[in-house]
This record gives sequence, C-alpha cells and structure tokens, in this order.
Amino acid sequence: MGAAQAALRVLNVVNKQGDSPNVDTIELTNVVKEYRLGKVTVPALKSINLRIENGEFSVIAGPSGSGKTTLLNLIGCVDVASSGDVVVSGQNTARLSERELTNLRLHKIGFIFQSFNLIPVLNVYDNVEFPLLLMKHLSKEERHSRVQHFIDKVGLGDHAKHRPNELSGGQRQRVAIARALVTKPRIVLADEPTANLDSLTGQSIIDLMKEINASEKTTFLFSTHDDNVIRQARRVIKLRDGVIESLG
Amino acid sequence: MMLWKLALRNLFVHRLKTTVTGLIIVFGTTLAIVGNSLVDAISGGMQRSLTHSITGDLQVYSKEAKEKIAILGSMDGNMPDIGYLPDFKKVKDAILTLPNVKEVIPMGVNTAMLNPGNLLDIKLAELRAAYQSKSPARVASLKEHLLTIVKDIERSQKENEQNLLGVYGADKLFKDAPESIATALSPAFWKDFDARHEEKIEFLANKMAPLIFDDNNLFLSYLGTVPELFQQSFGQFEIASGEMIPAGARGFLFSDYIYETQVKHRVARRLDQIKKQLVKEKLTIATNKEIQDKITANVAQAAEVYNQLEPSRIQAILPKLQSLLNSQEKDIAPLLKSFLAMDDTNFLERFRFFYDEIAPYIILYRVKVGDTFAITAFTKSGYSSSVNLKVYGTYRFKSFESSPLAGSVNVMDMVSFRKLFGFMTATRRAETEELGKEMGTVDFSRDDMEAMFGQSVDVADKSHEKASSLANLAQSAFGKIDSQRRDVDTRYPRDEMENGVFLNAAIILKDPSLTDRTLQEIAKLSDAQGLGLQVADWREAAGGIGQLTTMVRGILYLFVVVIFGVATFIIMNSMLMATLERRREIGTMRAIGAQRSFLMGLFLRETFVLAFVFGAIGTLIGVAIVSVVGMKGIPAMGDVSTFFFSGDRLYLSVNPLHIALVFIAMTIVAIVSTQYPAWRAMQISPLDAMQTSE
Repeated sequence: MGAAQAALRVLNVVNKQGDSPNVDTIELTNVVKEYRLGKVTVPALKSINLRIENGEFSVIAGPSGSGKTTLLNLIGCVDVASSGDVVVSGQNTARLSERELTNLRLHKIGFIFQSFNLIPVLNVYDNVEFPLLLMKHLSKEERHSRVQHFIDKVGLGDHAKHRPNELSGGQRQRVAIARALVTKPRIVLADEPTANLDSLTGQSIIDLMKEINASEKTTFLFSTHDDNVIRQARRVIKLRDGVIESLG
Repeated sequence: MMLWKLALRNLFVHRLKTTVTGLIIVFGTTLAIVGNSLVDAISGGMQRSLTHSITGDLQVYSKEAKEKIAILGSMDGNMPDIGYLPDFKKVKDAILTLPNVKEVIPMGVNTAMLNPGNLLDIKLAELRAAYQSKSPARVASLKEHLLTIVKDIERSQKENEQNLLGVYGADKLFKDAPESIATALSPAFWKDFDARHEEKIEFLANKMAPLIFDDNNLFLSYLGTVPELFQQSFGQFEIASGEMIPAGARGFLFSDYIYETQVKHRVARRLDQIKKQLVKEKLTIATNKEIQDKITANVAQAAEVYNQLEPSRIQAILPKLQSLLNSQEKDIAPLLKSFLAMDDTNFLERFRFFYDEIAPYIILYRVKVGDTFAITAFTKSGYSSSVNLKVYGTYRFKSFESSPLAGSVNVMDMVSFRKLFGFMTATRRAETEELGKEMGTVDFSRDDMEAMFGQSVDVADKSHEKASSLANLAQSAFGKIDSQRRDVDTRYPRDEMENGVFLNAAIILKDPSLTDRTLQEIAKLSDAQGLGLQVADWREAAGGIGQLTTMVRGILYLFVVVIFGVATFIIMNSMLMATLERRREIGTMRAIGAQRSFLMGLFLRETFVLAFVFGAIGTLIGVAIVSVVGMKGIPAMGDVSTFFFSGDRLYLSVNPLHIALVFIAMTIVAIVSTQYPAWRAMQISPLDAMQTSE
C-alpha cells in the first residue's frame, strides 16, 4: 500500500473517532481472553467490564498471573479478545484489520515497556524519532521540534547522541517515555514501567508521567504490583485470577 | 534515511556474519568478472583463429543437408554429410550483392587415403632413376640396400610365420612368398640384374614389396578450395615450406602440423616431440612416463631407421656411433637401439647427431614436397576415385601454427576436390562426351546420373545424356585419361576452378561485428532467390570445437550460480538468525506502529547494502585482476591453447556488460535471500515486545 493510501486510512480512523461520542475513552465489555496450551484452554481474563475515561492516571494492580499484561495487550491493540468488545478511541478492535490496528497503535497509543525495548543500534534521538518516521506525513522540521521537545522534557537533552547501552536504566526508561509521547497519543500504556528500576529512579519516572498526564491530558494506564506506585495512582483497578476485584 | 541507517547499523553490529557473507559475495563476483573475461578472451581468440583460418565469418551450405556443417569435424569425430550445392557462381553473385560481404570462397571437406609406398617401393623407384641417370655407383649402392631389405623380409617372414598364416594363409602371394624370397636372394637373381633391371625391379615390386607389412597408409582430411582465393581471404594462412599452389594449378598443400606429426618418419617426430617437452615444457625423461614411453617406442622401432640406411651409409655412421656411445659393437641394429635409448643427460647431443648424421639418409617424410602422389577418396556414390596431385608445399596458420585444431586439414584445388568427391568437372564432361562419341553408346544408367548430378542444368541437355551413358566405363578410364591427357601442371581458368558444384562456402565480411545481421540477410536472400542455402556462423560451422566456449561459459555460469546460490543461502540463514535474535526489537517496532511492509523494506536494505558493497569490492578486484593479467597476457601452455588464444598469449579485457550482469545477479541474490527472513519477521507479533513481562 502506498504512503498516500496509508495516510488516507489514518484519516479514516481519526474521522471515525470524531464521529464517536466515546472519543479517547477505553471501554471493555464482557471481555474474555483465553489461551490454548495444547488441548487445555487457560482463561487469562474472565468477563471484564471496564471503562477508562480520557486523561485518567490509572493503575492495573494485581499479583503475577492475574492478567495485568493481557489486559494491557488488549487495550494496546497488540492482541485481540476471545470474546467481548474492546473499544479504543471509539474503534472496536475486533473489527479492525491488522493494518488498521497498527495505524491505531501508531497514532493513538504510546507504549512504555518494562525492559524499555529501545532499538539498540539507534541513538536517543533516533529512537525517539522512530515512530514519527512511521507516521510519514510529518515534515523534517516538525519531527525535529517534537523530538527535541520530548527529549528535553524527559531531561535527556544532553544525551541525544548516546546509544541505549551508554545510558542508565532510568535514562533508558525516560527515552522510552519520550518515544511513547512523541506521537502525541491519547493513551499511554505502561507495563511495569518501574520494575527494572531502583525506587528512586522509579519514583522520578512516575513523577514524570504524572507531570505529562497533567500537562498533556494524556491517559496513562499502567500495570504494576509496586505498592508505592499504586498509592500514587488516581484510580486502581485490582485484578486477581483474570477477574476485576475492584475498580478503585 | 532511518531505514538505511538501521540497515547499516545492523550490518555493522553483526560484522562477523557480514564479513563471512561478504567474502563469499566478493569471491563470486570476482570469479564472475575474471571468468567471463577469460571466456570472452578465449572466445575472441577462437573466433580470430577460426574466422581467419578456415571458417570465415559465415558459412553457407545446402538447406537439404542431412547433418549440420562441422568443418573441423563433429563431436563424434566424423565428417557430417552436408549435401552439396550445384552452382557456386549463382550463390557467389547473389551473396556479393549484400553490402557487408567482402568475399565468398567455395569449399568442401572430405577425407582421403594415400599410400606413398613402402621402403622397397621407394628404393625401387630410386633404382629406376639411377638406371635412367646412368649412375653405376648409385645403382650398386641401391642394389646392396635392396638385398638387405629382402633379407629383412625373409627374417620377418620367418619370425611371424604363424601369425601371418592365420591372416594371409589363403593368399597366393603369401603362399608363394618362400619361393619368391629364395629367388630374390639367389646369386643368379642379382647376377644379371643390370642387364634385365626392368624385369628384376618389376619382380621385386610385385612379389617382395607387398610382403612388407607396414602401416604406410595415410588418412587425411582435406579442404577443396580455390587455393589463391583462400590465401588472399584468410590472413593467417602462410606457406611453411615449399611454395603456394600456382594460380589455376591442381595441387596439394599439407598442413604443416600434419606433415610434421603424421608424414614425418615416426622416430624423428618422436624425437621432435621429446625435445619440445624437455626444452619448452621443462619436463624430464626421468620423471615423465609419457616421454619414457616415446623413448621405448623409438628403441623398439630402431629397425625403421637402420633398414632405411644404405649399407655404405651404415659403414660411414658406425665409427661415429661407436665413438658417441663409447661402444665396440659392430652391428648397426644394437648400436642404433642403444643410441635411441636416450636420457636427460645425452638427449640434446644425440638429437643433434640424429639430424646431422642419420636423418639426411633416411626417408624423413613419406611424401616429399615436390613429389606427385596418388590420393584416393570415396566418392559420394561410394566408388573410389584417385587423382595424381603434386605436393607444392606445406602451410600453417600464423600465431597458432603448432595447434592441431585448425591445422587438421590439408588444402587441395577445387577441380581435384570435385573429382575425388564424384562431381563432374567441365573438363571431365568434355572427355566423357568425346569417349561417348567414340563408343557410340546411348545407354543411360543410374551411375551416369550420379556422375552428372552436380550439373543440374546440363542434365537436361540431350548431348550430355548421351555423354553420361558411359559413366561406368569413364570411371575406370578416368585415371588413365587424367594421367595421359591432363598433366598435373595444367592450368585451369579461374572460372572453371571456382564455378560448379561445391559443398559449402566461406563468407568473409567487411564488418564482422554485423555477423548476425548479415546471416539473417543471406537467409532472406536465399529464400527470395531460391538459392537453397542455410547459413551458419563461424561458431556453428566449426563443429564441436565452436561449441566449446559455449560449454565453458555454461560451466562457468553454473559455478557462479552455485556460488551465488550458496551466498543467497548464507545471507538468508544469517538474516533468519538475526530475525530470531531481534524478535523483541521487531516486536517493539510492530507495537509502536511499524507496518509489515516497513520490515520488508528494512530487510531488503540490509541485503542490498551487503550485496552491493561486497559485490562492488569483488567487481573492483575482478577488474584489477583482469587489467593486470590483461596487460601481461596469459602464456599459452600447450599447442592446443595457441588455437584458443589465437597466439602465444591471451589478453583479457573488462566487458561492462559483465559488470552489469554481476549487479543484476547481486540484486537477485538480495531479493531472493530477503524473502524468507522478511516473511518470518512479518510473522512476529507485537506481543513479542512484551515477552519479558509476566
């Protein structure tokens, strides 16, 4: 597919959102996710009903194996539900093609990973610029101003030319945050963003996310089992054995 | 730009794999450039050798030919049946109207046998000449030699009696042999030899000479053409010894190569070959089995030397040989055997002795330049035909004179060729008519048709029908007529030499680079004017040898394809490994929003960089090798290679087309090797980005 057609599809997705009354909200209705392990079916999520409003700063909490990452994957459009509806920015993900899901991720969702997942061969600047290049329709100047803005925002202005292996864990996660935000997504999903960081660094990352949540009105939804992080969330969604225990 | 940056950095990060793959690509491209340049140079050399020596740029022959033309013989070693064309003038006039045609030369290739006679025949001929020139000393010496030869026949008969009995038991000559030998050895036979020398010589020629069992027959390929036209048209042609066949004369030229390797005395030619191997190829007798075998063969055939030496000459040589060999032996046979058992220390000295003291007194060449000999061939209709031809000299092709390939045919005038092939010449037709009138017969036989088949126009003529009725008689009488009425020195007008029946014709072009176009033009012309021609380029016309470069190039391409195939496989494997190692990175890209096409683009760039950077390095190395070697030239290692090199050295040059081909091949390698790893990468789910999570 050519770049022009891709851009058209992006616009379609944006238009569909514009038509929807649930713009930039996340809504899960009777969502079930099962994995098949050989002949055995393992339920990961059981009949989840959840609505996350625009601009929320929420945490999905629960012990290991409770289904936190599965829930994030469904909301992040990297996985599809076995049954039920997952509506992200007004789009029912079950009805979107692979290509449309990818476009939705690119334009509406930012990802922050537990292991940072930076591209090792690219420096800080290039890692942050990477998703903007995928967007194709941005000018070089626009890309540069956005990249510089977010690198400065995460406090790595002096490290733009550094490679990931030249950075500390906290610095890497800041790069990941800048990369997640550079496309100006409406939703940022973070999977255990502080798990690989010491408590001080972890706190600085949470502070940064809170600040961006406040300034950019970006929805933040992250999974964690760190009580310190849970305490700082405005809303805590507790999961246990694939079922929501409480919605906070 | 980002994609290129990513591709380059990925290649750099995996630099060991990149280097290994790159080296394979470098090897493949270097081989492709150098190999192609080599094949091109050989092909060019061969083209020069063939087009300037025998095939011309194009060859035309009958459209109704049963087989494809192969002037130097087909792969199975036979001369193909290419039919014939009736009217050279018509074909020549038509083809010469094309602007790119410079010359058309009539040709025909056939094989023949000639028997120059054995030692006794030759010595008897010399004796006749001695009687005619009234040289009593020479007569006495020859008579003494003849007696030695008869004694040798007696010894040979006794030694081989049992074997001969089985083979020739029923033959009258063999049955009479003991009595004939006894007669020839009796003092009475020699007592009145001078007085009745004709009768005695006749007896020896009829009763003794056939008892010498030797392989004196020569089987030759010959090319019938208009000799002076052939000489003018083929720049590489030159006379090696003797002289050119005079314009309009009937005659024969041996190929120098054949003359030296088949007509020459076999002991002498073995010595020539050994000398070449020792001096030129730096081999040694002590270490080379092939040379040792030649020495052994020479010792075994020493009799072929001393039997040819007249007794007076033997007496003169004996003391010199004794001194050279430091021997007291008085018998020439063991002495000469000992002489021929040469080794590395004495070869050159004995080689010189052989040519100074022995060679001038033996029959060094079975047919001498200047001799007239009978050559026999089977005609198209199966009967044998003979002509007497004078050997004017030997010829060779400049710059590949020692190569057996182009030097495999001898040259003969077209009139003699037509006769040997069974075609009616104008002269023969006139003679047949004359004979027909004398005999007054009007029968019309199948053989007549065959004798006339070359003259399609004339067959319609009633007078020729009558004339041709005597073909059977004429065939048996032609030899006599030729010898009586047509002297070998007769000059034929160019028209008669040239026009008439021919098998094929060489076409020399003004611009050989337009060979293919002219080939098409001739084919069209033939169709339009009903000439009945088919056209072959020099490569096809040469036969099996012409296809050799195509074969070599095919093998080279196969080799290069295998190398590129291996490179493709290794690149693919390496990319696949990299894909599996980069699962999380690729998953992250997908999660962030990279479409599958983005991944394909990334992988393609990686392989393109790999293929083109190393392809370019390989090309540069190849070009450098070709340039350096091209300037110096590769020396020809053997006689055959001088033909392929069209000289002593092969000079290489770079063909831009090959560079383009290498890059096309590299593109294919890049695309093919990317497909599977890219497909696997595209199957990686964004979920893989989350793999370290719960």
